[in-house]
Amino acid sequence: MAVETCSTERSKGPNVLRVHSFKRSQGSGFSNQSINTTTMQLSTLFCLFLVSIASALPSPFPTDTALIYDSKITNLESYTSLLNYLREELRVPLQVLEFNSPELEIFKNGQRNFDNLIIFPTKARSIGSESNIHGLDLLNFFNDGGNVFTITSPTGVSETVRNYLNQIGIYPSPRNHELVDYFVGSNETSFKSIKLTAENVKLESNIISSVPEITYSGSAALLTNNNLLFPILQSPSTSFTKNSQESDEANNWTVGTQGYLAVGHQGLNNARGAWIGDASLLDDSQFSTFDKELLQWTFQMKNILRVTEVKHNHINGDTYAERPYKVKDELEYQITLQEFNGEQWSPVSFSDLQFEIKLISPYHRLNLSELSQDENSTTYGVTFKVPDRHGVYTLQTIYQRPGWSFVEEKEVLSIRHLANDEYPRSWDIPNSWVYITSSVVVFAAWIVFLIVFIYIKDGKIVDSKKQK
Amino acid sequence: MSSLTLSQRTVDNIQLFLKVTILITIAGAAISSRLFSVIRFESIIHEFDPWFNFRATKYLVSHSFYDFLNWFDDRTWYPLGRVTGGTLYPGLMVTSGAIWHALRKIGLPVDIRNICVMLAPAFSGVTAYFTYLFTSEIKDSSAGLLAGAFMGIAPGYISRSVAGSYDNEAIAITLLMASFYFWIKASKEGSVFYASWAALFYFYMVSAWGGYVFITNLVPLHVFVLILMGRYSNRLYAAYSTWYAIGTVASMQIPFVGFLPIRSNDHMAALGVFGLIQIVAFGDYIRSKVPSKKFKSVLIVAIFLIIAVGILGLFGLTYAGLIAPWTGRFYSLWDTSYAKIHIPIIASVSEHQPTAWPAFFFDTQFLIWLFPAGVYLLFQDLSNEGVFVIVYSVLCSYFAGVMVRLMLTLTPIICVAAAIAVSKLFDVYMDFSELLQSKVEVEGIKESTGAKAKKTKVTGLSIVAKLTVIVSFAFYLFLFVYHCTWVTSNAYSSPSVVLASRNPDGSQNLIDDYREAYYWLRMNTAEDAKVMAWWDYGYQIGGMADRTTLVDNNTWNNTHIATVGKAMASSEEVSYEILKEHDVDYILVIFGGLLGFSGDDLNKFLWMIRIAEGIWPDEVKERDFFTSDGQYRVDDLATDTMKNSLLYKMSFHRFTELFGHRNAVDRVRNQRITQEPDLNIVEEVYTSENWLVRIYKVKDLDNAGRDLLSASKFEKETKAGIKKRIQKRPDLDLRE
Repeated sequence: MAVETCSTERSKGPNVLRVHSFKRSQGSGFSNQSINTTTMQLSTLFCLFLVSIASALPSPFPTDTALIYDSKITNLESYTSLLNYLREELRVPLQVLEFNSPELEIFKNGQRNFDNLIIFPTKARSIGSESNIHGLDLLNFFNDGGNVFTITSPTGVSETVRNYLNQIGIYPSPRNHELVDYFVGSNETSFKSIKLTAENVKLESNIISSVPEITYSGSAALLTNNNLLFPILQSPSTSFTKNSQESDEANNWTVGTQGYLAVGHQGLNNARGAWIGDASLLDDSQFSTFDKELLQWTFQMKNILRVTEVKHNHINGDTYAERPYKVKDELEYQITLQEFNGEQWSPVSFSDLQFEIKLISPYHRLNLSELSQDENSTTYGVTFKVPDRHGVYTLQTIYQRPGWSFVEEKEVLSIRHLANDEYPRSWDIPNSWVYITSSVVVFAAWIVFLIVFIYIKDGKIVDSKKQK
Repeated sequence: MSSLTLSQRTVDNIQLFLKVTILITIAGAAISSRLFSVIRFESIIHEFDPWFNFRATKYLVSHSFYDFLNWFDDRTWYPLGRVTGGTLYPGLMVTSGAIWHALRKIGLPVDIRNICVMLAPAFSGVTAYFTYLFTSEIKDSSAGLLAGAFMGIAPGYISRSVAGSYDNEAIAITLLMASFYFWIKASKEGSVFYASWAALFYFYMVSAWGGYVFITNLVPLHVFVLILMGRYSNRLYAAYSTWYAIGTVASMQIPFVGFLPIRSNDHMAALGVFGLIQIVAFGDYIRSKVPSKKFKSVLIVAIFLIIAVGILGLFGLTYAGLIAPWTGRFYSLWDTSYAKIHIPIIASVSEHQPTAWPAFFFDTQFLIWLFPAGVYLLFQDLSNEGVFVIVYSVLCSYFAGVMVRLMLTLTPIICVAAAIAVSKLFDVYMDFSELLQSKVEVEGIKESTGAKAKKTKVTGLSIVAKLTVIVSFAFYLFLFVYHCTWVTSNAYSSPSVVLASRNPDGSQNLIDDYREAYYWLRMNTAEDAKVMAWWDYGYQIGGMADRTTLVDNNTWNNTHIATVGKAMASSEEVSYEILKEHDVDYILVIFGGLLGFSGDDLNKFLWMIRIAEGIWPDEVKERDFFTSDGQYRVDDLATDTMKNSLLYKMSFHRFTELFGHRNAVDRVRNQRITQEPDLNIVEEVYTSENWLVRIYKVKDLDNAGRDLLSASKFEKETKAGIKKRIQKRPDLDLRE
């Protein structure tokens, strides 16, 4: 429904939600003529109230959030900036729960109980009131569309979180493993607090917008080649992860840039997750734009792409329903995209958006060019010629870029062959004139022959022969 | 004794009345014996191909003829689609569509399904009538009546025309006999009128069945043999030229046939004979003008020249690519093992196998031994029409021995030849006129000689001889009818969509798994879901479940079928890519291991492998599916390739569970299954009552980006409570 609203009423206001609420209140006002002024005023007030709520809510999605922590290693008092940010600025309904609290149920009656989870390091092996939350449960939560923000530390890597992260393709260093860099500082503690520089920050993940000031001390993770992982922070080339309890140099978890310190990931269902290996990044001493952006991204409050309209038709405007496509038709394809940037749906510009028409493999892969833009969406389009092969084609736009929610628009259409009367007639083909002429000549000659054969008596010929 | 004196007219009238009565009775018998299937089961379309014909007919009656002609079917052969309107023989559908419209016009709105079910029996009555006419032309009407009766109930024909067997053959045999009747009539009388009718029925036949090529070759062959026998006549010329010209032009109007009559080798004989008869006609004309001695030498040289030029031309044009080379089906007619080696897809069809000898007796009973006798009798007087029957029987006897399905075209001529034999026999042995006459003679004519007296004496013995023959043949005929009825009711009336079996107490038990599963698909899956199954079930899925299929019984694209074969025969990782590439949502497999149904997918598996191997010889190898000592096993001794194949896994998924994890026995292959195969890329969604049909849903790509094997491994381990306490550094590839 939202899709239609946006495409048809995009001119009415800057914010979709606002437009929507206006529309509703106006509709109720006009539908009844006998409304008196007080109710009118009331409705206006109500409308204003709705608008204020709408503009205050940064996200179009409900965002019940649970923060799970272990009081043995995490003192929440040092995280007031984080909690304030979540409560005051992001305005998410937040539940702060001990990892073994009986109220901690991520699924209730088969339904997801929260939208977002923030899991702080825990000393215990598993989380849940009876250690009943397994890695699989977290994964199911993620697969069901929930966002998971996990933090591990050298002192707290629970089995639940580790199993879950391993499935995603993140292998955080085990308990007691710490990232160290002997090229910084001069003593044991300074080895472990590493100042990250611009070359350790991967801005191409599109999750954070600027290089943050970070002093990192925690664990590092190995990553698989999973395409759905978007590394944000990489460990410096001079660092490595070692076991602080026993020195076994052959078994360093990561060496150099092999380790990652903060990673975002996104499922095919656009659920998001993030992992960082140092809880102190979130505490009051270091709470910064980096954390804000990471939280916003993880909770699907930014870099959300949405397709509001997909349209395709003949070049003269006839739709598929009016005139089904056949081979070699000229068609145009349009797709309208918008981005949620944390406050409102807005137009978005991409130069690498591509459209495909495929039958098992693509016949055409074409760049979509920007056609028009309004306050909250951008329309891209391309015209193309249907291949000279009938079949059941898929028209698709797949846009999967790090940090952006995935766009996958597919439509299966049958493209028919030429009907028996859609080929050019024989006389339209110059080559055929030879054959047409020759057959007409044969017909005519035959008729002439018949006339001659029937009406001219052969007596004369016999006579002439005899005369000779 | 009052002597009966009847005028010729009265006799004719009585004969006519009797003939009509007999023919109506024959038609009645023909139709009613085909109704066993409806009575035993229900009014349902049978087997495989009829389901497509039925679906196409439904399309025809719900759309216009124009739409039907240009029908692009996007629900089969996904994603290629099928230009169905241009690749089918529309005769059958148009016939039933016309009947449906006609009945509506006169206020009888009959459901199209019932028309389709009843079409074959209805046409069998017409076939009997045309067989009567045909045989009457060859011998006389008494032979004709016998032939009609045989044709009406011969199992060889019933096998393809019981109620519900809504296939092209249902009307094609009728049209075959009609074309032949009109051809014989035309060649006998040299009538352009009958030749045109022959061409018209030939056109109808072309529109109805690919077997029209049989007429296309048989009629020219008849003409050719007659020319060789020196029996050329202007009548033959008129008949053949008319038939060929009209028939060929008409046949080219069928989109599926198109330019084949002038491009394909199958049709070259007709064209060649058409050319030959022109030359012969010309030669005939010259002969009437020049002395015969000179003409003979001219003729011999000319004939050799023509044959040489003809054969060279054929080879030359074929080599140049102007004429389509012989098709695989044609080669397999001459070398029965050709298809097995070169075109497994043709060999995999059971009706393309060579006929087993008992089948001849089973399908025609005592007609099979009367058949040579009839042909022999025709040899004796060797009329022009007789030559036709002889040519027909010789050709068809061979073809019927090569392919089971060609038994169908042999049956009519067996009926005709046998009827000629029986009627000849009856002509001799049922002739009691001598007896009556001699009595009259004894009474009336006193100057009878000794010879005459002797003859009257013999009569007593000859009556006994005649009676013996008549009684024994009557007994044979009775036995024939009994056999036909038995065969029809027991062997040919099963719809094969519903299987019948017997309970231990002898009562009938219907196994309706197919329809159960197809109905499940229809009601529980998305309307545009794509179902992958082996091609045998394509038409049924399209017809009963109304879902898009990847391959079906119209085996026009070998590669696409091989793709499905490869997906079935490969390991899960390989299969999954194929499945995703083709947007497969569900896979349907037939598993007979629990029921003991031998026509299941595991028994067809070798064909899937062979067909896939034909396209991907490096990836699918038949040898890998056999054990080292060359056995086809599915139990513990099966090869790894076999155990890892998707079809094997889907067949035996949860099979041991059914037997309490102990000694599950596959009742088809009589082997013990002890291991539960590990199935990851698909999940079972439906298994029918007797496990005959199993439907699996293809899993989506893993949301977290893992491969499905490790995803389901993690899930299984977690559910089994396996915990990995020790953390090992994973062995990972370098991150790109």
